[in-house]
Amino acid sequence: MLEPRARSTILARGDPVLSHALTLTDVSKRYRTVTAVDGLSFRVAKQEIFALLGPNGAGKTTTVRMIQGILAPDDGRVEFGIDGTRGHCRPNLGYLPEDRGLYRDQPIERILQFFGRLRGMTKADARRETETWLDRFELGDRKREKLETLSKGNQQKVQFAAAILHRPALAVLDEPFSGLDPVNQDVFLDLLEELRDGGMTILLSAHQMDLVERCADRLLIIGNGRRLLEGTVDELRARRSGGTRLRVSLENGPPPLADDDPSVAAVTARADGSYDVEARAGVELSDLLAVVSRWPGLRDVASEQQRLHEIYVDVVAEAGGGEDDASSVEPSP
Amino acid sequence: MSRWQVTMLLARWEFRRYFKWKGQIISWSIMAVLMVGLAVVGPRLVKKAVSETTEVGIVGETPFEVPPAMGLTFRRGDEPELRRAYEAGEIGGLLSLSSDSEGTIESRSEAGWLFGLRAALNQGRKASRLEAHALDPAVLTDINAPFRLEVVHPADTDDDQDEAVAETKPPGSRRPSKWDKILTFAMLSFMTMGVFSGTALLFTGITSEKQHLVTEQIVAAVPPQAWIDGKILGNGMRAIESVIEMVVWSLLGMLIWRGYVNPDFAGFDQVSPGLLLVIAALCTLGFALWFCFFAAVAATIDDPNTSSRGMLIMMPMIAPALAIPAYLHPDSGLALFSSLFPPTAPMALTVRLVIAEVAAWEVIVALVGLVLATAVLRRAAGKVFAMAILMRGKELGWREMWRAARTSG
Repeated sequence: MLEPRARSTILARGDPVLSHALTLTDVSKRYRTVTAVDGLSFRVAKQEIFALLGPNGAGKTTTVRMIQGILAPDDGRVEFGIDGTRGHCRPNLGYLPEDRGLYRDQPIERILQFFGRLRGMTKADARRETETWLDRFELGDRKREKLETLSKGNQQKVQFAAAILHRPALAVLDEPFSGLDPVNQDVFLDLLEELRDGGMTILLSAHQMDLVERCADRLLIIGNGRRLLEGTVDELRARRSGGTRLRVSLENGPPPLADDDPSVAAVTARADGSYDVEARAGVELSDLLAVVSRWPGLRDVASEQQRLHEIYVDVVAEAGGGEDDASSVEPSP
Repeated sequence: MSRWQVTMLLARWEFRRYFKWKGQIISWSIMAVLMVGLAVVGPRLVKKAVSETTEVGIVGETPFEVPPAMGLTFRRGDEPELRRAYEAGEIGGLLSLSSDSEGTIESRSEAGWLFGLRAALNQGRKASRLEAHALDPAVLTDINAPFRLEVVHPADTDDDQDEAVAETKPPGSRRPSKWDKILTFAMLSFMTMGVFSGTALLFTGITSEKQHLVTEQIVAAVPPQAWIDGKILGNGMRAIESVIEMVVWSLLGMLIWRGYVNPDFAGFDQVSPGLLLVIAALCTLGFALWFCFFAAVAATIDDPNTSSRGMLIMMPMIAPALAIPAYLHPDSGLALFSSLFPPTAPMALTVRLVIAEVAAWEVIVALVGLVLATAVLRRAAGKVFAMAILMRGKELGWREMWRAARTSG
């Protein structure tokens, strides 16, 4: 395996790479029979929560592995605008992989201290942070128990602590919400925001769109290893549907709408007899309301934002998705 | 942290994964109690066993006088009387001799005293036959005497003349003492045990990490080469620790045994430190060489329960297999090859060092070869390990392993 740690780039002051925590430029990775990542470029700003989304096989895991230095890109560059991302323990990077596990037959206290030390912490710091995080997750009184004695949710908390115990500048969290109940999902959301507010940059990948929508500052949807859509949730809404949508109920059937209406992009009938009315790009809510209010038999109007889940499904469906499996690393030809 | 600090951190972790103080203290305590018990009770048991005798009844007349035997006494008498005593458990067996060559013994068990009885009867028969053939016992002793073949070693004369000079010579030029041979055999045995026990730890440790999905987090934090180095060091130290335990308990056992039977420890002070140092170096390097090999193999195994590569654990057996020709014909070409070929050199060369003359250049070439082979294999193992450790669901093929090992960087 190649070690991308060796690929260093000397950056000049004022370079945009330095002002961002992470910059990927035209990164590609090919396995024997499939191109997992195909000329992907994006930037993650410092101190933001950035979500990397995509269907199974879109290239997320491969991208994350290249960021972590586990895989070397065939083309392109992975660059960091933070220190401590190279060397023997890469103390400013944290990683929670999708396929994760820890030493099940070891006490959780030892496991966390070991991972902290692996990331360059001193013995005392690793011990102190272990105490802090176990107390925070209400596992302080079980610190000498073996990991295998914990529930799946508690194991997930230990996993999470192992990834960020050393307080990295950039934490990459692959599916951080999996295995958590709704209460703990909320706990983790708060935690992510707290870590970001404390200065940490977080790149996460998840399939729980409602959770991503609540925490991500910006997001990138990829498919077949390529960039499909990037921006804040509001920007994505705006790009996909003009950002404005109304649900209307009419007494007299479908709305009277001309094909070339300058305000309305589309009207979709719903099963309950109401209609979704989407505004054209750039049309304000007040303008759309003015149009709708003139329709005869108007009984009810409600403003509705398109959810990230819908945007994601639409975007992925348009791109054709992807099903290659990058969970096992194969040598490049 | 420096590369070395990372490696040592990983080595300590690997060591502590299988070294649990609590478990160790319990097992040491049990062994200590057993040893103390053996030391206190043992001599009494031995004394009692030696002083214990079994009485055997001899029915009727015998064609020769049955000589006394250790742990046995004989009672003569009529058959009914002796049978009553036998059935009552007063005597251990009933012996009837039909001629000076044949007889029967009735016994309730296949007890150990039967060996002593057989020896006594053989001796009695021999004396009887000597008398029958009118042979002088001295003639028989002369006939039975073995051929005395004295092996004269070129270095023997030097040893006799100037012991101090002999000590400063290369290991091959001084005839090893009995204790050199004993200690060499012990070191080879312990090295073999260490390789097998350490390899088992490596296989268990690496395959369980793959199965428990730990690998990706560690590879993200540290270079795979540092990880495999840590594994080799940590598991190697654990194997050496278990070997040291065995040595300590064996020595304690020997000391206790010495208290019972007072064996001959004369000549122990003639052990050659130079020879033992060379053999220790050969053993250590051989240990490291096999460890590097097995760390790479273990990383390619997906499921230890189904993988055919588990059988590779037997590969170190080629070393003792090639040491046999080195023992039988130490000056042959095959012996020389196996003494210089790194995987077999530790055992074959060690055997030759204590039984034959080995030139100093052979020792140097073998040691240098082992160092180079270990260094190359360590690096190749690191590359194979880096590729294989993240694979799941399939095993790295031999061709892919070869390609990975040859990649630069």
